[in-house]
Formats: sequence, structure tokens, C-alpha cells
Amino acid sequence: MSILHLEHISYTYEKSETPVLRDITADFEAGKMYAVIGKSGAGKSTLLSLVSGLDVCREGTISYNGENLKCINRDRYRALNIGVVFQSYNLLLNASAVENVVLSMNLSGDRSRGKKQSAYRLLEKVGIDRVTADRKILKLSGGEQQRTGIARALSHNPDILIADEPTGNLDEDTEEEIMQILTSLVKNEGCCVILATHSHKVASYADEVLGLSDGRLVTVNQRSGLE
Amino acid sequence: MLFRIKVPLLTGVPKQLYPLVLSRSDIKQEDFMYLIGHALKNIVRNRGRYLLIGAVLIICLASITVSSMIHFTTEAVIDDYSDRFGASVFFTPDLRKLFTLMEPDENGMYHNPEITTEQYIAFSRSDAVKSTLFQGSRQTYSNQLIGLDQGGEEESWESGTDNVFLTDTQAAAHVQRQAPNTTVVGYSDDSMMEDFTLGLRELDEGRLFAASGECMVSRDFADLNGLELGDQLELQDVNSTDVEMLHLTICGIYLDITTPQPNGGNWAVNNRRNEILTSFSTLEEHSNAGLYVTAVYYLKNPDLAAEFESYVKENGLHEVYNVNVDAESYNRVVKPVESLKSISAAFLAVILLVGCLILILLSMLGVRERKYEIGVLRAMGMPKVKVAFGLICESVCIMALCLCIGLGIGGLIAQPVSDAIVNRQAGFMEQHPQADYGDILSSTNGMNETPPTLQEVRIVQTPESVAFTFMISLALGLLTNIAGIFYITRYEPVKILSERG
Repeated sequence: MSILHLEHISYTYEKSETPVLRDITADFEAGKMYAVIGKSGAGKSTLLSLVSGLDVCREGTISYNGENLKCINRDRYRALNIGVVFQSYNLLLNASAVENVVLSMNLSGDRSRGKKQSAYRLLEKVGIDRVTADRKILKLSGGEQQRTGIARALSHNPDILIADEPTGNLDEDTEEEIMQILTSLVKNEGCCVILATHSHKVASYADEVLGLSDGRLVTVNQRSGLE
Repeated sequence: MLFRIKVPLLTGVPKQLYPLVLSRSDIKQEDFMYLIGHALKNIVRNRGRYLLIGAVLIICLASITVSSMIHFTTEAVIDDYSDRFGASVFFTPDLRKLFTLMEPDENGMYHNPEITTEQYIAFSRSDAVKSTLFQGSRQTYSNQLIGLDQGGEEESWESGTDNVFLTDTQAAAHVQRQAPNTTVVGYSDDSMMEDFTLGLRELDEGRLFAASGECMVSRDFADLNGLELGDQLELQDVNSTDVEMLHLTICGIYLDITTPQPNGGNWAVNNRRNEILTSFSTLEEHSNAGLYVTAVYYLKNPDLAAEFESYVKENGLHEVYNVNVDAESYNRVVKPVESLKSISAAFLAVILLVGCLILILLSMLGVRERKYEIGVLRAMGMPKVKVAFGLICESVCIMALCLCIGLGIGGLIAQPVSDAIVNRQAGFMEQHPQADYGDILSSTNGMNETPPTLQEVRIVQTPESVAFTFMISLALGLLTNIAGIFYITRYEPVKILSERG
């Protein structure tokens, strides 16, 4: 069952004549991990921005559970239905790790008193202990910030997790841990994970690998694609 | 409960604000409280930036408080002065014109052209006049009464007078008349009876005259004539013998505590204790004939002197008379206050300009940081309206705090600042006594209540100044985040995040 459907998506940036994305059509299902691979500037991040409702496509439609993103409240969509993990983390720098997670819970409408404890538990799940969770983001390492970003993205139990180069700034060990978390999320929670990466190793965790070249998306035989 | 953002008429709404006013997002009550809490936390998180902004705001608001307090107080002082004193005008004969324009009588005496009572009253109807004080006097005689110091004047009375400035009518009436033994003085306002306010006279018995036909006599005069409250007086005008008798009823007896002055002859009319005090309307209603009137006109503004002068000249004031404005009194009080007001206004403008520029600069510098923060919040799904509301909440909180501190500091330093300016201004006025007085002659008139010299303006915190400072603070508060709100809310989150550098 397709949870996210892309149909004839094309996208051209302002002040540019060359389209970044050309006529992309794809389906994403729950309980699967998708990896979008491609060179720098291939349009991976653009595709994920459109899918996550951070930007609006001018041509084509993106449907979430059959509903066109243009027709639904994209703020609600971002707050409730998807979680986004950014390559550059995009956390509130003056807030602590746990405050970032709690903020995301608040935005999803969670007003329960125990949400801070839930946030601590979630952070522990991604390898952030309580002491670290109470530190300001600027005092955390890159790996800790990325884990916080993942915890934040998972804080409202989204149907879709979108990760743009989630391990791009991390060492191999941390990369391994992060990918284990995402894999577990797919297997245990039935979440749809879409990640963009340069790394073939990261892509190897995916159930399906999509290649992006010249703005066009093609399904890549995982094995051959990675070779 | 919902705080629904209604869609207003979009006419005049900048396009950038459409997302705010058109957002379908509702701010629920719990969101409302959460956003305020979030704003407060954000202030603490961004305390470095807000300390800087707060310092600028406190300086601005304290200065604005000082300026507005001075401005509103000086405005009140000027209004109060105008209400109480105005700019008095009176007519004085110009000797040069008198000798040029008038012909001497057979004795070689020059007489002032007469200003009739009707003219005095007509002049008061000028649009430039705020109020008029009339004082009238009538020299009277009664064979049933004896004036203090009466006797001996009959001989000299018939022989004329040395007063060269009597009016034609008065001069003509010098002969063939009974020597007066009383003077009836009428006032159009109680405040004109300065002897009472100065303590030279005091009410001994009865009350002040109020109704028409009521009068007061001195204790000495009453004792000499065996007069009591309620007694009727019949007085004959010595200058207009054809006028019927003036009937007055004694309603009060006053005590004159001045020492009788030797006046070169025991004349009853020169003894203050022979004055019978009544209202100007009583004298006027009786007859204008033989009534000697003086009037002081209070203009709404000294600048209206020319308008008033042309009015009175059109209404028959002789060319011999100059129209003089007591600009000195007005200027002595109002000019320094007006200067203070101008300085405060200029100070306010400069502070506002500099403050706004600094805040806009800080806001622009903060945009990059704000862009990131707002980009993150928007990426997490916070609606634009909530982001904007949060920013405004932060501004309001900061502004409320700075407003309290600014009002406090401003309230403390307003008086010293005002004193410093007033002292400087007073020093300037002393060094340049004729500064800004124009060409109009300055003099004073005994009928005018002397305005106090400005030495200090008591600066007070008025509701107007607080409201003014509050409104300014709101505007400044919005300025601190307006750039962020305008610049950022119109973009998609991905653009904000990609532009943050």
C-alpha cells in the first residue's frame, strides 16, 4: 500500500532555467526503507524537501495517503505525519536536546505532562543519556546532534521519516548506530524511511534504492547499483 | 476555546502579511499559553541578544519618558498660564501723538480723547480676546454722608486741576459740581480686588457684594456715618448731575488696614476708606455717564495683538492710543516653557530616530539568527501565524520589562533634566531680556495679576505621558522583530534554511 505517491514531479529553482527534477513518478510504502542516491547537485535534497512539505512543487502532485499535499495543511503534515532528519541537524541551538524533542512534541499537539520523560526515553533510545540530553545543542558533538535530530523526528511517531544525508557528518561507528536505529524503526514500527545519501554503505540498508541522475529518478537494482 | 484569527479586509494589507492574516490556523488556548511560555523561554535562551536590545530600549524609553513628561507638563503649564493670565492688553496715550493730533484747550492743556464705556465693552467682543476685566469708578456725593477727610476741598475743587490727562468730558465737568465725598468702585471680577488678596483689606462684617445694587463700605466710613449692614445709600454722581441717584445696599463692611497717607490736602476722594465697593455691572447698569472705566483685555495669544489692535481701531479707539501687550509677563513664563517643550520635542525626535535606527540595525543583524530559528520551527511544522505570534510575544515581554524600567528611570531623571534646561533658559532670558519680544512695547498694568517668574517646572508623570510612552514602546517593540516577521514569514521553510548560510 503506497503511503506516498509522486506523480510527474518537476522542479526548477528560481533564477534557473535547468530543471533539477524532471517528471518523477514514484511510490513509497510503509514498512520500507528507501535510499535516494546520486551525485551532489543531482536533486536529492530538493526531492526530499518536496516530499517533506518544506517546499512546494510547481509541476506534478505529491499525495500522502491519497491526499494532494497542495490541498492539505502542510504545517500539520510536517508536525504530525512526517519526521525530517537534516544533514545539518537544524536544531534550536540555544535549547537543550530534550527541549528540542519536547518542542516537536508540542508542535504535534502533545500536551501531556509526561512528555519530557518520554523525550528522555526517546533520546536514550537513540543513545543520548540524560546528562547529555540536558546540554545545549552547541555543546553536543555532531553525532549527538544527529541522534537528537533523529529523536526529534521520531518524537511524534510519524508515518514517514525523511533523512537527508543522516550520516554525512558522522564517523563510521556512529553511522552504523544511526542506521541500526533507522532499520529498527522500519522493521518494528512499520515506518517508511526515505533517505538521501552519497554513501553506498548507507544505501545498502535500504529495501529499495532510487538513483537520481539528470533530474530523473530510476529504480536501481540494489546490488548492481551499489557495485 | 479558540482564538480564531479572522480574515480581515485585505485592502491595504501588505502582501507579505497575507500569510499572517490568511492563515487558517487557530491558536487554541493551550497553544496560546504554550506560545507565551515558549516566548519566555526563548528570551532566556537568547538573553545575549535581548540584553543588548533591552539596553537600547531602556535608554530609548527612559529618554522618551523624560521627553514626554516634559512635553505634556509644559503643555499643561502653557495652557494653565493662558487660562490664568493670558496676555494682557491695555491702552496708553502716546504723548507724541497727543501733542500732534490733539488741540490744547484754552488753558493750554491737552486732554486724552475719551474712550467711552460702550467702547471699552465693545472692544471686549474681539475674537482675539479671551477675557476682559473691567474696573469702573464714579465720584459721588451724598449730603447725608460724611467722607473721611472731608472738608477744605471745596475751595480747591472749584479752581480746577493739574491733571492734564483728563478726558474731554471730565475736563468739562470740572466746574459747577459738588465736591465728591465718596468714590464708588466697581469690579467685574472678585480677583481684581487685590487689596483683599494682599491682606490690605479684609472683610470685617457681612459678605462680599454679589447681587446687583449691593456694596461694601469701610469700617471707618461706616462708624463715622453710623452705617450698618442693610442700610441704603443714595449717591449723586458729581460729574453727571443729571443722572439719577445711585442706590446701593450695604452687604458687607471691610477693614482697611493701610496707614492713611498724607496726600497734599484733606480730600475725601483721596482717602481709601471712603471707597464704596460694588460690582462693575451695578455701576454700568446705573449709567455709563460719568463712569470712569479701565479695562484689561486678555488675549488668547500675544501674537493676536495686531488683530486686536485693528479691531479696536475699527471700533473707534483714537489714534492717540497705543495698544500695548504685556508680552513681558507672558514671555517670562511661557517662552522658557515653550523652549523647554521644543527642546523636549526635538530630543524626543532624535531619540526616536536614533533608537529606531539602532533597533532596526539590531533587528537586521538578528535576522540571520532568527531566520535559522524560524526556519527550524517552520520545518518542524509550526505555522507562520504561531511563529509570528511567538516573536510578538517575545517583543511584548521584553518591551513590558523595558517599559517599566524606562518609566522608572525616566520618572527619576525627568525633573533634574527639566531643571537643567530651565536654568539654562532662564540664564539666557536674563542675558537677552528682549529676546523674541518683537516690536511691541512691554509694560504692566496694576490690574493684571502678576504671573510668577519661571524658576522651575514641576514635571509630573501624567497618564498622557505614560500612554504616549506605552504606544511608542509598542511600536519600538514591533520594530525589534518586524524585520524578522516581514522577511521570513513569506518564505517556504526550505528557503529560509537554505539562506541562513
